[in-house]
Amino acid sequence: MSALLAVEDLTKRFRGLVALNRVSFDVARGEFLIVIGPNGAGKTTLFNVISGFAPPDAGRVMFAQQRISGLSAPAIVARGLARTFQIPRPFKSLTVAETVDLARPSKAGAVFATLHGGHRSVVEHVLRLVQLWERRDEEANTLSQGDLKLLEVARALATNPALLMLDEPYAGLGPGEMARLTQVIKDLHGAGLTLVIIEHKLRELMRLAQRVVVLHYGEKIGDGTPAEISRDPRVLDAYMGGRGAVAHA
Amino acid sequence: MIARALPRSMKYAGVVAALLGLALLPLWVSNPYFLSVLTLAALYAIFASSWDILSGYIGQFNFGHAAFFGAGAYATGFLAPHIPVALVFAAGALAAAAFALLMGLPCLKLRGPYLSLTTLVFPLILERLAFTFRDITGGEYGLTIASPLSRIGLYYASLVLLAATLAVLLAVADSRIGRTFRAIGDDDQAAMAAGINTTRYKLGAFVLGATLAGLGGVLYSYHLRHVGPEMFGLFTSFQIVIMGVVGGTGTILGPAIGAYFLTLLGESLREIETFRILIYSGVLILCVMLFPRGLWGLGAIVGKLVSRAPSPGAAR
Repeated sequence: MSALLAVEDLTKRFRGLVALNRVSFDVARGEFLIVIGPNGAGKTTLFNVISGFAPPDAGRVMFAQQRISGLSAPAIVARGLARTFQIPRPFKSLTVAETVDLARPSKAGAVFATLHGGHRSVVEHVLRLVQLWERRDEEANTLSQGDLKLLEVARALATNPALLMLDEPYAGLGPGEMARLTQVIKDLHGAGLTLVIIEHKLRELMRLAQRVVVLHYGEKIGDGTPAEISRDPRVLDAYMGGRGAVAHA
Repeated sequence: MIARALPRSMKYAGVVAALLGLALLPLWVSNPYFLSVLTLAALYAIFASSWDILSGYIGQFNFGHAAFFGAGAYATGFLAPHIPVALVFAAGALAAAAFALLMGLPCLKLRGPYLSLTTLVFPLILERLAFTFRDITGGEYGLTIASPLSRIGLYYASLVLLAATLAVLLAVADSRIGRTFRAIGDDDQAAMAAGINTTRYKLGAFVLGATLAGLGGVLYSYHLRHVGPEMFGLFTSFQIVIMGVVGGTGTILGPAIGAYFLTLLGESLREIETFRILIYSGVLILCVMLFPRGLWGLGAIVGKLVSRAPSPGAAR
């Protein structure tokens, strides 16, 4: 299987700080990858560089065999790579349905082809998927934190991505919302969407994922199946004194 | 959002009624001075509402809108003696659109206050150029323009242009494009993550607003029968910003109402010229403090209260 996403020697510096240091990994088409690492490990920076929100200082990002590093964020979305933000960034003057309707769908995506059946509009389809269809006419800024996170996912899905990157989608969710999100992730994975998710607090998700990449101080210190990662001495060492999420996984 | 609480049909009906009222006004009011003030108000309403599409919807405050209607006015000064009126309007619109591209391409990549600060400078550059190339611009004296229209003709021309401007802007603002503008104004980065080419939309809003202002600038110079470098002065542009803020940004109609309100207020204060700017500024400060959403927001609140009064239980 050819890699859908190839991150090659990616380096990003902020003044003196090296946020990413020659990070490389591949993501195969249809794969479900989790990126973990202690706070400040460079996970969000990795997302920002891949999705075109921050230019890399060295290295490159290939997507579907084409170089995307250097393209603008909307151009990368048009190629079929979408992302969400850790802290929801709603369009506060728009309704839920309007928010999703504004997303510009890419032609490359996997979402609509497999999930968009029947006579439903893209908006209805995507909102039903995250269970926000009933709230479609509510203004985005009236939603709960959990619904805002799901609206983030819906907006990203409405761009019809081939690869979806979620930045800590579970942070700030209640138990019911977590279950909803997990179901959405299962559905999307089952439908063949390639997923890269930053999440290090949820053991359940670790069991769903096929591969885990571990970042620590901007460097990749682990890359393997969840079982391999949970035994990796370097990873355990990095988490020592931390949350211990991996050690118990 | 309060502005959207008013049903769209009610909003359009109100605009049509107001414009019809203004069109019928000369039947009762024949005072040429008052007519001329109303013409000026309509022209300022064109400038303020066209300013709003970038500044109010996308939230990128343009402090140099005078560059656009000034471009239209100078185009008139240069070309009016040589070409038919219709072509003068086309030239005015084109000149303004060209300036918007010239200004927009470097500026709109800037974020936050930097864009606003940069827009501030453009009319000042044009003002300098008007002084420098005095052989063609007439320097500080400017150019005299012969109007092809009578006073009453100008009044109706300004009303027609205002109606067209509002129709175009409202159609855009209430469409998916307008919602995209709002989304960019709400969160630029989130809009980019949704695949929206924000720079292109900002440039589009800039050029659209500039083109309409350029058309207004042509009429403005016909109305004044003159164009001079004072048109590019700081206060000219600030006046548009003040009208927009007082009227209520992000509503198209609010800035137009603000333009009428402040033009009529300004004229009624003409007898106490010394205190004009003081009172003007006072009104601005009061508006910002008391009604942050401007006259439009105030009107919407009153409208909501009135419509709620008969059946308080029905309110959401």
